[in-house]
Parts: sequence; structure tokens; C-alpha cells
Amino acid sequence: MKPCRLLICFWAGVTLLAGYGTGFSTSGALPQLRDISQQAGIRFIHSFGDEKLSNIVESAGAGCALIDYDRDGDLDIYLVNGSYEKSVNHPQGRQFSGKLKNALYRNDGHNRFTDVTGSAGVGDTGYGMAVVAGDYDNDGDPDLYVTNFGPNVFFRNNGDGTFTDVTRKSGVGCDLWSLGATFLDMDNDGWLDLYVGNYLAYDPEYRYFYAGDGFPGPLAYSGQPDILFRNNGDGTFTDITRKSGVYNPDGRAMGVSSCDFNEDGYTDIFVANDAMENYMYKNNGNGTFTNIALFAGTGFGQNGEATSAMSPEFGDFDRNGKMDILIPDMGYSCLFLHSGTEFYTEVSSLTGLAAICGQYTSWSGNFFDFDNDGFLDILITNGDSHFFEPEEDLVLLNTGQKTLKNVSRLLGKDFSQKGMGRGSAVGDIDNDGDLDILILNIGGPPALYENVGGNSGNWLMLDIYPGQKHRQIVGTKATARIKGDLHVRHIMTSTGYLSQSDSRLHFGLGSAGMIDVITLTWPDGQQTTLEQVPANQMVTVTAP
Amino acid sequence: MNLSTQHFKPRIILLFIFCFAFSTAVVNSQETTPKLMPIPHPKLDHLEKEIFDQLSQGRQTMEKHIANPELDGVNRALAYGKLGHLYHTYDFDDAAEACYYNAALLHPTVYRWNYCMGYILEDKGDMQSALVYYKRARSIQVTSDLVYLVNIRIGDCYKALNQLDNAGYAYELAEEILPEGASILARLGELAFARKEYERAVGYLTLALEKAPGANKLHYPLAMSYRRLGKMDLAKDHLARRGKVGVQPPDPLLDKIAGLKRGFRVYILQGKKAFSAKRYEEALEYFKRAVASNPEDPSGHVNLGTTYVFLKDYDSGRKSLEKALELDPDNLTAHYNMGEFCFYAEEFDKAVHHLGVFIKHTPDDAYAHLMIANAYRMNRQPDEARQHYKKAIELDVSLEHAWVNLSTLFLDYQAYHEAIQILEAGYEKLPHNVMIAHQLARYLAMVPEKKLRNGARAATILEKVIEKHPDYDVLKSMAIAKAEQGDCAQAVSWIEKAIQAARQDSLSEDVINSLNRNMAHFKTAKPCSLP
Repeated sequence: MKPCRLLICFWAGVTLLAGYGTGFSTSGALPQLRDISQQAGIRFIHSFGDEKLSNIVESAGAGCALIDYDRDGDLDIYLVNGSYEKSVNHPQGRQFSGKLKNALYRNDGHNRFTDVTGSAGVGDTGYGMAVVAGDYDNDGDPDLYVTNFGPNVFFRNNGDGTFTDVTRKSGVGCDLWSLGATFLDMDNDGWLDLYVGNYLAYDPEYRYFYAGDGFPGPLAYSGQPDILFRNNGDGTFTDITRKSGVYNPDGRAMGVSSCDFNEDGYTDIFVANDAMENYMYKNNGNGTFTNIALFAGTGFGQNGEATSAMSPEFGDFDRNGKMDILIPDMGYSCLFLHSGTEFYTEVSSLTGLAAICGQYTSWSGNFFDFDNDGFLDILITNGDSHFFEPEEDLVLLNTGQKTLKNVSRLLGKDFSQKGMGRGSAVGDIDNDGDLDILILNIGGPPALYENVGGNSGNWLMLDIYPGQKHRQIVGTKATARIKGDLHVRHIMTSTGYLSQSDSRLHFGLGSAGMIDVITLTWPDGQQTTLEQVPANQMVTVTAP
Repeated sequence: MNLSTQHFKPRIILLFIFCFAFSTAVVNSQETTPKLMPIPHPKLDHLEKEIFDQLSQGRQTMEKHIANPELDGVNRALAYGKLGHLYHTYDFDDAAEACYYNAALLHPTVYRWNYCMGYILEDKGDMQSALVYYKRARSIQVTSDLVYLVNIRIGDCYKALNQLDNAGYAYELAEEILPEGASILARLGELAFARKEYERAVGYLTLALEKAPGANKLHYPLAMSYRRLGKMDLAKDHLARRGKVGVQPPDPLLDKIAGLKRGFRVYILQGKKAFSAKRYEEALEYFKRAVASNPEDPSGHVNLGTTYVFLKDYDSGRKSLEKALELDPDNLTAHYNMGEFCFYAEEFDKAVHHLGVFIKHTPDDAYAHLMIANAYRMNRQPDEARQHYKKAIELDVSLEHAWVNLSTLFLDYQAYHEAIQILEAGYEKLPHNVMIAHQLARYLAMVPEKKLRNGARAATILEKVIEKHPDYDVLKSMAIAKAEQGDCAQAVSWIEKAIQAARQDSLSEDVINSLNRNMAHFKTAKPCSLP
């Protein structure tokens, strides 16, 4: 195919400056993770509205997002907070009443952030769970959907640093207990639709449980149906849950993610359900979906066990060009490799993931190439689910041989700290070519880890903007060929547990100095090709 | 140079070091007590009084024993171990782990301390440490069933660590002891599946299911194996039969520990567990204990009442459910169960009332709509019945009884066309559903309004049903369909098959006689189709 002319702007030399002065220079050594949250000015403390965990609502939240809300080229931070709810929390949590809200931190560069929650108008005070960002009105900036135990909130980005609550006007309010949510263009009409995963009907009066559990688990309550909202293109949405075939009243959705996993041109949806089968909704291309989880092999763990599935994360772990799925849980976690033809094989034992995760209560999982060697590594957040017992998080190195190596204790003392990890997002906060980490811990401060030395391997970042024809770029697929190897990335919204990562596409290149060919497949199937793209730069691409 | 001398000197040094170390260890073991772990104090303040007392007393007993300087290591181990069992019972794993650790340290040659320690560590996901204790347990001379059990646990740990060869070896040791055991066959199947040896997996899992047909969880790896082998129909068939019941090896020690549980919630949970396993007598005992433990809690009475009904003690069942509603007039579970009870007691008015209350608060429960529709139908209120059947179908299209009962309702009122129409719609939605397909075929073969009959189509539908479900009644329907087509010889042939199937299933003589009457009709009547 002949390369298409694009509006391409090369941010040349960004990394020629970044990364120096860190003391990291040894080729082959692991990057170090340095917690910079305090020096960055992040003063946010999450609270679940109580002093100790006493029910499933307090334990379930919360997420975070790395988004460029002001479109100034660097990633800002959104953090979701809990609340004091009389119907949920023990009265001893009254001290938190009216004091808790979500927070937005603007990236000022040089690893400094400023709390702009008040001026932006996004300090929702609901009992927060997840945040997902997407440009629902195609005006070029990300809008924010926040799920709550209680009514969800939808913030429209005004483009001037402020947001407006458009929940009622847009019609995407939901009073059920929502956890995960994802934006996707289900019908390729150029407008982002919204899938909201609902968890369960919490009943504070229900108190049957084994003593050692502390409080009842998810199966003690009945599930709730998820909701699919279709974007009408005029600022409003229509509930098409039943019509589209995704009505499942008994589901217990935790994390939700969307990706065109079978590459038929239509974005599919994955719902991680707690303690029951997952749903994998294949988009039929006609406005309806079919749940194929069982036959695809992703409904359960390897031997048919219903896991406490937390969050689905798509990524090409084995670099065969197909999107695999990582789902952390309270047991051994699941890694489903896509072998094509909509068949998946669960390989958590074979890769070593099971032996590592078996000792933790895992929540969020992110695929990210943290050492820029060209293979997607894994970040896992951990923390007990029933008691306030912090656990250490994990970085698992992809050896390139379909196995994982736990290198968490080799990444510096900061990363050894324990927390009540829940949501997580990865992204290049300092635009230095390696991926940094944001972790939301419940009942404490978040951790913002700067990746020091990850950029000793070569890299390339694609920052893709909507164009005249393609007003919406979620669902765009980038395929890079580097010395015959295949690297695939998709632009997705929700990632990890209740969170959203950097939507720019990051490629670790190892020692390769150039990408031979990058093919961008836009949501309508049209393709654009870039050839001979040099490494170590941020490439801005505007869609046709 | 004398090579033997060269090698001799290091050997002497090593021997010296070994002897010194050994003698030091012996002296140390005689002069110092092993370093025991402090036992954490789990927070008990949120527990029911009965459990609080049980754990507090257990702790006091242990501390009293340990404070006795005369107590030997064996009995100290016993004191720690017994408290460990109590903590283990209520999932206070950290405290249980410390107790078992001390018990195993003080008396390392006792199987149960090592086994329980291994179990707690395995449960926590620390497979490497669990293996150390399991292997110690295995090395102790105990009965073969305990060796079988611990080999299975060792294999499970190795499998979780992805050391599949070691897992296989441990499972083979278990297999040598009990080659026909469902739990070992299941694990060998799952191991073969993990190794991508799909033919072997199918072999083992099929055998395991033969031994333990209720272990429906095994259908899942079996289905995935068939899928890998390209046998998609078999894969789909087993996927449809998957469930949550696995197969665990008999574990008398853990059963004993589980038996230590006390308290209202525990009785309720144990009762529910027994009820789910259809052990109704056992469930009844637990629910009685729950009610005795907290007579003011309506849920105890609801569960007790429901269990009485299942045991056909209707008077006691009604009293318990009435008591639950007296304590909590808004208890929806009690209303639902009372509604079902009244339905089976043929008190349809009352059934409609209680189910109506339930539906008012839970309008999306398809099964409740089905039940109230049945009650309305029996109460001769067809419009209400039809409305609720349709609602049940709308909420859950796979609810086969709603389709079939709605068609029967139409049949009650001679609305034959509508009866067939609703089954046609159900068949279109659920083409693999045996009940709907059979009912549709039966109507097409023998509905009183003859112009609606279609024997050929009935036979075509029944051919597929018979493949899955060659039950006498389906075979009889095929005979009727053939008769409707005018093929009397075939009708006789099929009715003979139906008689044979009924005999194989040891059905009553009434059924056989009825089939024989059909046969006589097909042989003699002209035409042989039903009037």
C-alpha cells in the first residue's frame, strides 16, 4: 500500500534530554520505580468512609485515570474517592461526612501537579468507584464518566479547563451500583456509546457470613443488569440494553473493557463478573451482541472455576497480533491467550502467573512494556478484600518465552511498600518514553511511580488526534513491524480496574532504531501507513 | 602426588564439620526449646456470642495448658493444635497457622499438624511452604487413604506452581493407591488438559464423570478439550452441562474441623449447604438449631419451613412460614415460599396473594411470574395467567415451563392455533430445547383440530429430540406422528420401542397398558391416526 500523506508532527529529541541525570545507564539492568507522589504535590487521600472495612461496598472501589484533559500534551490525573454514606458506613465514619470528593490534578510539567478540582468542577462527592474518559461530543477533548455506589455522574469537558455535569441532560444516569464502565463506538457511527457494568443489590441488613470473612461476599446479594447506552449524536443517549442483547439481570460486573478482539471491524465488550461466569459480548455488527464467553473459553478459569474476576485488560502478550486478556482475581488470576478464531486458552499456570498471584488478592492488571524491550509486561495491584491488610504490588516481566518473572523486589525500595491497591493506570507522565505508574490505594494516598531508566531501550509513542472524517478515534488499531516482529496496540478507553491509562500508543523497541512500517487501521477499516519511522520520539498523527 | 591423599584430607575436614554440627544440634535440641510463634489475637468482638465463647474458651484452655511447666511436648502440641482447629474453623488463618506451626514444631511426627499447616499455607497461596509440610505429612506412616489425600494436595500445589511433571508424579502416587478414585481421575484429566494432551484429558475426565456424575464442573475442561480436538458438538453439549460441583477427595480431618462450627449464621449456612445437596433431614437439623439459637430471626423460620415442605411435613412447614411472616410481614422470601406452598396445597387464592406480594417488590423475577401464572391458571383466571406467562418469557426466554404451560393454558380453552403458535415461537427461540420441541411435535401430531395437524413436521422435530432424549413418551409421540401420516406399520414399530423403553425404565404397568392400547389402535383402526 502506498503511504498516505498525513499531518505528522515529530516531537524530535524529547528523550534526548529526558532520562539523563538519573544515574541509570547500565544496559540490561531493570528500570527503577520511584514514588514521586509527595514531591509531585499529590495530597489526595482516599477514604472509604469508615475506619475499618466492614462491608463489600467499602472494599470495592476505586479507580484512577491518566488523561490529558486540557490537551496540552501531558497527562493529568483523576482520582476517585469514597464518601460517608449512612446506609453503607459504620457511624464512626461520620467524621468523613461531606469532606470527601474526587480530585483532578493538572500536570504542570517537571513532575509537578496542581489540584484543580474546584476550578474544573469535577469534585464529585458521591461514593466513587470508577472513572472512564471519552470524547462523547466529538469536540476534541475527553469527557469524564464517574460511577458511584449511588447515582453516576457524567462531566462534559468544556474545553476551557472546566467541566459541566450533563448527567441528566445526556440521559446516562444510573442509580444501580455501577463499577466498571467503558466507552466504545459499537456501531461505527463516529459517536462514542457507553457500557456501564453494574455489580449487585447491596443490602445492609443482610449479615450472614462466616466469622473469618468479616462481612458477606458477592454471592450473598443478587446481581444487577448492566446498561448499554447508544449515543444519539446530539448530546443524548438511549438505553438499548435489551434491544442489543446484553441484558443479563443476574450479572455481577466489576471491571468492563471494550476492544475489537476478533478484528471484524466492530468493537466487542468484555465484562468481568465476580464469583460467576464472565461475559464476552461479540459485536454482531447489526446493533446486537452475542455472549460467546463460554465457547471462547473466557467464561471461567482453566478448569471451569468461577473466579472473583476483577478487571479485563486487553493486550498482545505473546505478540502474535491477537489481543489476549488478563483478569486478576483473588485466586490465581487468569491470562487468556487468543489463538485466533475466537478461541482462548487460559495459561496462568503455564506462564507462572498463578504461582505469583496465588499469594495475593489482586485487583487491577495492566499490560505495559515497562522496560521498552518490545514485550508487554504486567502490573498487578494487590490488597486484601475483607480486612485492611495491605499487600505489595507486582511488576511481572514478560520473558518473551510466554513466561513471567516476578521482578517486583528488584525495582527499588519505593515499590516494596504495601498498600490496599485497587485501580491503576500506566502512562508516560513525563513524556520521556517510558511508562510510569499510578496506583489508587483505598484508605490511603495513591502511589505515583516514575519509571527511571525504562527508556534505556528505544521507544516510540503515537499521539493520535481526530480528523475531519474520523471525528472519533477510539477503536483505532496500530500495527508496527520491527525487524519482522509484530507489535499491535489498540486505542481503548477503560483499562485495569475501574481506571483508564494513557490513550497514546507506546511501543518499546529494544535495540531497534526504527519501525519499518506502522499501519493505522481507523474504526471504519480505512488504513494509513507510515514507513521508516525513527525511534525515540513522540509522533503526533491526525486522522484523515 | 598421591591422588587418594589429596581427596582424603577434604573428606576428613567435611566429616569433622558434620560431626560438630550434628553434636551441636543434638545438644541444642536437648537444652533449648524450639522457637515458637506467638499466637495472634483475632478480633472477636463482632462475632455472635456462641462463637465468641467457643473461641475464647478454646484460647483459655490452650493458655492454661501451656502455662503448665510439667506438660510434655506432645501435649503442648495438642493444646496448640486444638486451638488451631478452632481458628481454622472460622477462617482466622493467621492465628490457625501460628498454632499449627507450633504444634508441628513441638511434635513433628504427627500427621495432622503437618497436614493442616500445609492446607492453611496452600489456601493462602504459599505453595512452596505448603509443599514442605505436605511432604512431611506424607513421610509419616499413616493409612493409605491419608497418603492418597496428601499426594493429591501435593500434586495440586505443584500444578499451581506450573511444575507439571512433579504434579503428575504426585498424582500417579495417589493413582497407585486408588486408581478408580474420581478425585484423582479428575485431576489427571485437568493435568492432561493443562499439558495440552487433549485426548488423554478427555479419557480421564470422562472416566471421572462416570465415577462421579454429579461433578458437573468437570464438563468444562472436557468441553474445552473437545473444542481443541475440533469436536464442536461434543464441546457444546458438555458446556451446556457444566456446573459448580467439583470432586474433592474424602478429607476426614477437614470434615471434623468443619463440624466445630457454631452459631446462628453457621447453622443457616450449613443448613443451606445441606439443602443444596438435597440432604433435607440434615438441613432440617441445622435450621432447627438456628431457630433455637435465635428464635426472633425470621430467616431461620423461612428455611425451616421450606425444608419441612420438601420433607412433605406440610403442617410444620406452614407453621414455620407463618411464624416467619408474623415476625416480618414484609419478608419476601417467606411470601414466595408460602406462595409455592399454597400452590402445592391447592390453595390457589392464597398462592396468588403471597406470590403477588413478592412480585410487587421483585417485578423482574421470571420464575415468580411463572409460579403466579400457574396459580392463576389453576384458579381459572386465564387472562391473568396468560399475562404472567408472557411476562415470565419476556424476562427469561429460556424458561421452558413458561412456554409449555402457556401453550397448555391455550389448550385448556380450545385455542389450539394459539397453543401451537406459542410453541412455534418458543421453538424458534430455543431450537435445542427438548421439552418445547416435544410439546410442539405432540400438538402437531394429535391436536383435536385436525386441520392444524402436521404429522410429517412432527416426525421431523421428533427425530432430533429422540437423538438426545429417547424417552418412552417421546417415542410414543413419534408413533402418533407416524399414524397421523398414515404409516401404521411405522406407528406400531415406534410404539413397540416406546414399550421397550418404558420397561427398561421400570415404569408402572399402567404406562405399559396405556401404550399397549395405543398399539392395538394403530394395528386395527382405519385410519390409524388418533380421532
